[in-house]
Amino acid sequence: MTISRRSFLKGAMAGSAASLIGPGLLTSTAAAGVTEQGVWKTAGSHWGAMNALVKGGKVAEVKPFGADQYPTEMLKGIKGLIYSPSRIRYPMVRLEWLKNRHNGDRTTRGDNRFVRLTWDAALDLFHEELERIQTEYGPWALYAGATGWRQTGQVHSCGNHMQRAVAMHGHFVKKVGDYSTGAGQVVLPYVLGSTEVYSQGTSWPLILENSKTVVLWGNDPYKNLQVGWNCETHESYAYLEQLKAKVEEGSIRVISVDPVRTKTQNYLGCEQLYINPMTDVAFMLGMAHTLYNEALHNQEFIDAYALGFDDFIAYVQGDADDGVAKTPEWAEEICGVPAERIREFARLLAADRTQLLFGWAIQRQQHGEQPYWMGAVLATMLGQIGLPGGGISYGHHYSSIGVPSSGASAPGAFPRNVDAGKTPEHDNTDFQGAASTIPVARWIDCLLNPGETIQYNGAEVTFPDIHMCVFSGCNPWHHHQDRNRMKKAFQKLETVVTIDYSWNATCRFSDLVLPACTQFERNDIDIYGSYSNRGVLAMHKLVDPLFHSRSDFDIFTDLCRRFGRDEEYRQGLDEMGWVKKLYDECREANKSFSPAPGGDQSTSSMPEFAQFWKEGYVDFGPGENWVRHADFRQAPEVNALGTPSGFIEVSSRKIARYGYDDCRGYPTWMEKAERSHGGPNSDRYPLWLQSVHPDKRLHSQLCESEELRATYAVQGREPIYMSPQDASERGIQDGDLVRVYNDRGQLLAGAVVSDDFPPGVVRIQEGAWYGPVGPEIGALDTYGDPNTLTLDLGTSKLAQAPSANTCIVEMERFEGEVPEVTAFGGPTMVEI
Amino acid sequence: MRESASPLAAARPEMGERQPVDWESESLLCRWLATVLGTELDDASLERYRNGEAAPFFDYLRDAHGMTHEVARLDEALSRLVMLRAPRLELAADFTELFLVDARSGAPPYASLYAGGEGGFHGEAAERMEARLSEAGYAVRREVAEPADHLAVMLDYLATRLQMLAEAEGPAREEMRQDVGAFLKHELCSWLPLLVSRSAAVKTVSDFYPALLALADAYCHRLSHSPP
Repeated sequence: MTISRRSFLKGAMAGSAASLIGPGLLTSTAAAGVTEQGVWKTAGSHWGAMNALVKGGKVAEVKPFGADQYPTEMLKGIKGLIYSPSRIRYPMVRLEWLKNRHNGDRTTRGDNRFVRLTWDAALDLFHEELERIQTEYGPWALYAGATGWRQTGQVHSCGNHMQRAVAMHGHFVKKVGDYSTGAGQVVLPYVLGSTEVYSQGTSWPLILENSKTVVLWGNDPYKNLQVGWNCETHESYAYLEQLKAKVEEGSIRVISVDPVRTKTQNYLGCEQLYINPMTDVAFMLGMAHTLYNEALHNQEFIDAYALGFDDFIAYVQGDADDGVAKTPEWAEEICGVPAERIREFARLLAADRTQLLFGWAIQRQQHGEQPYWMGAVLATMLGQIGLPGGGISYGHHYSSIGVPSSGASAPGAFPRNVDAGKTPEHDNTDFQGAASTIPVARWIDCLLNPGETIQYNGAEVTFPDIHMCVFSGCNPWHHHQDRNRMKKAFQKLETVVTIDYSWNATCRFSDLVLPACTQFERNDIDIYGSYSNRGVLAMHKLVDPLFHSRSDFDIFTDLCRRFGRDEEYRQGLDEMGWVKKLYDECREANKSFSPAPGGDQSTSSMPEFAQFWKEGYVDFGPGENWVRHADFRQAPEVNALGTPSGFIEVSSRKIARYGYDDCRGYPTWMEKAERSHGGPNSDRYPLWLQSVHPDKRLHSQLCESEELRATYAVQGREPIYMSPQDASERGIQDGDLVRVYNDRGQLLAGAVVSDDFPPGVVRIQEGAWYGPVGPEIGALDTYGDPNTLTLDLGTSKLAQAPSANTCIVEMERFEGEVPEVTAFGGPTMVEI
Repeated sequence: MRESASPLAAARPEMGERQPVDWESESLLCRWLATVLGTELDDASLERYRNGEAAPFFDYLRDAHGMTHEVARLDEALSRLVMLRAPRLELAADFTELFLVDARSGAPPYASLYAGGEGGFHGEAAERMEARLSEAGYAVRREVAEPADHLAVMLDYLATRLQMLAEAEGPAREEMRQDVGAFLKHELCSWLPLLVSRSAAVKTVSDFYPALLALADAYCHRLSHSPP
């Protein structure tokens, strides 16, 4: 007897095997060929606005927005971001945590097995854990404070969604400060009355018109202006183009004070003043000594607008407790700039109108408060604060600062907090003596040392005993320092929940991972030009959320549904309801707005929402020129600064009263815990590792875009830039794989040998994704995350900010079997 | 797997006997593969497998396609599940490890990712599949939320074509057969060996899914060479 295949079918269907066949995955539709020609839509991002051709439900092409005359090549990474193999496709839970919850083995966190969940199951777990933490412990045990560079869009800003939803459930530990400007934003309010780092600056046209000398101090705007907090307009590049022309014709002298020949320097063709890393304060003190002793300082300005100069100058002259005069010769020994060059530079700045433009890098180091404070003191001595093209700026490399503001009202945002009059489900505000807010860069200290008390900005902060963390659109496994220390700290956590769109290291070190969609998969509205506020941009959903990802709005609405407050959460509106609400409120606020002269007067009335949404953009026109602190200069009593005295505080009595040994009452030079070029430990680790903002990413965003990464990676690894001398001394060739190491960790990177770098200085751009070969402490990072090596130390007791640029290393040509890059995939199983 | 569990166990073809292809049965087999490769097993399904209720599929693959080795491997993997404390969860974690998280070092079941070895999601293979589905009057069910080049979707589509082939007559039948053959050759057999190779490099607790992928690959290869 032979089997009949017909009988197989009958037999299978008749038996229980039929139950092993599930419902089909397809559904019938009207038969149609693929004839869609596609449709162009408008979208926005940190990298600028764009028009995207959507064809067959897929983003087929991305073009820069018409109004963007200087688009960044990072737009080439957008498709790679949307369709990245690193996308999180489903809600996931770590298997060990699912089996044993908070009692499970935490030592394998970051390198373990996950399983897929339905959204309902995942959100139930999320809610159950919030409940458990609030009832078993209290608000002190939950940290949902960390927020980061989210995706753009005022409705879906993920930090707002996470913090509103979690806050409606219960109170939690929050953070203060950020990783970009942590030291600057704390010290400058004492000195100049505001953070300055996030303030509009003197308009570029006035700098171009009035400045004779422009100093770029640790500042690379040509690189960093590619990205913005909101949708970036790139208008600043028009001014950099004009500056380049003025450098060429000799009407403005631009000097870059930097150990490295920057991208901006190469673009402008300007001068460089080399300085040893981390020695800016010594250099500036030498300048102050020259200005004072050659009577080049503006005593009249100091008398009228500043306080505390005498205490400071006594320190410069050697009349303070250290008894050391800060002569240029003294400075030369530290900063490596010849004394006579220091004098010449001081004289040059005093000779005519000088605009100081500081970057953020020099305050991302130990004692990072000092160079910013000292910069303000120098500017005060020059006496040009408040004049067009003079004074000091701490932000012209950031988010269109310096582009005149339109003066229009910008659209608001989905709320971050619980609505007024409402209270959380768990309204327990007892943090049991611990702080409810911690300095952001000290959260790993907090995990490792609960109960410890530290000094911070004039107050004491006692670390709470955190058991659970929630992160959304925030990748601390990129931006925090010292990965191996983080590994230890995470083993203390009972539960970590992360909402993101790609399998970055933060997701891999989590227990519950929820897939958010990208900003190109939901509708939103954004400010076009963070500081210029040039207009309002529609962010059309280009494609539906990929796989099982969902918008932050939907995720947290459904979380709130679990405790019966979803309607309150979304205030009764859906996604498009919120987009329209924000637009309509903006339109109402701008009823009396008139564009500046020269602007298109027809824009004085914003169109109805439907027209805006169809056209994709409303332009407010260009703004008017403006001078930072001009009002203060004009009437210091009336327009007093926000300092305790209302004047520029060269010395701060308030800071002096704190009694900190690492941040005194006036700016001082202090040696670092480690420093290259003859500093501490440079005999063991002679190379300074700088981890600057990347040229082809926004921090860690876009690193997963394979197409873009291929344009800069070396043998699939993050580049490490080095001088020909350092390479030669170690037998390293351009393109080699290099092991970079210090006592904190080790990583693999790809060598790029460049004349832009002096001996003793190497660069790995921050934002490179972390991917160790294994879960063990000290495991080799396979891709090249510089924070594997950086120092996790507060800048001082004042700001307790990150000291990422205080980092020295050694490197060698890598020999042996090359491990695969593990940074861009999900977690992998380890032997337990 | 117990042989006696199969209702067809006593009805084996004689060695060497050439059988006409029963496209309807092949369609059913594809639907089974689409199901088991499309999502994780739940407790009830796992119990059915462990009770031998998949025997008709296994027997058919052995008898009609001569896939003795591939079936034995899968059978062995099922037998070894008794050694696991939480077999469903471990299988789900294997499923995740292979298919759901790491699209570069795992074994992601999407044709686009094997285009040139380094493709991204929703690549040209997905576009071709979408065009095929659209022309045939199909779309992926919204709640499935997978691109059209997911292996389970492609197998499900193949199942519908095989069913139509079973029902077709005359010249349309031959045209349909050629279309199915081309689909197997160009859209499935072109990347399934790479998928199997990737799966072999992934560390899993059970051999169930690697064995299943090897079986699916062998099956598609044999089906593409089936006689008219």
